[in-house]
Amino acid sequence: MTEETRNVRRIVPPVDIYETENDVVLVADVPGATKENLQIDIDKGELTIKGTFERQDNDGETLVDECIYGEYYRTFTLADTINPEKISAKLNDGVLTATLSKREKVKPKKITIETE
Amino acid sequence: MRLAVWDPFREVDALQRAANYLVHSVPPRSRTSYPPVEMVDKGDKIIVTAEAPGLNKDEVELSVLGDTLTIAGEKKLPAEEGVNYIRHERPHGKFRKLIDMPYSVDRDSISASYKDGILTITLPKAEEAEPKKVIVE
Repeated sequence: MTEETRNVRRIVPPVDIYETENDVVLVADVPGATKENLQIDIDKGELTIKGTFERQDNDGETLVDECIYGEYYRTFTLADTINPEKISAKLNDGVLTATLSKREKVKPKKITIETE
Repeated sequence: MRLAVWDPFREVDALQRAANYLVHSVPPRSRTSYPPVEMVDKGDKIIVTAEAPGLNKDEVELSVLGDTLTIAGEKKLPAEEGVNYIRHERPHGKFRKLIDMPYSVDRDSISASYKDGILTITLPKAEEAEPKKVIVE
């Protein structure tokens, strides 16, 4: 069991967000996070990403230290154009991809022009 | 008709984030070249780990010339065509990082693995880099 320690370094993961016709897709870099420790949830119109990047072993002398270990944390407020009930997420090679659906009313509607 | 740029994500913790940077003095990522690496001396070998999420491992180029390790590759955009980007923060594009090794390494026994976006390279030290005990007579 790991005890929760205070002063864990908080890492703000960089994100790309793009929209397609029906969805809004959020892509976040969370290297070192695993399926077991990464959480994504929506509560009260807020989407939160949480995860951990831990050093695997502490033996040896560190010569170069550019990596930042700690806890990934980032919160977004969802616009009401997004349906919070429809979300899917996957984690691949340290990249989290969350797909959120737009509500029906904001989806572009194609109107077919009929000929008589 | 909707013509304005539409941002469905309004961030709530931007200010908090700025404060966190001050409190924990996390160095801005841009100061180090991509990808950020860690190098640890394990006695008989050097372990280099690189934070490089979302790579195609078959396209990563690793090479050692002299005592310099090169990590090169390309981080692609998640989607190219037919999409409208609202936010663009993740680094992307081609990268090449050169890392000087503090010891000579045995170039024939270097190994590498890629898991959870972390690239781990194991470089055994060359025999001449191992400390040799000299007995004083």
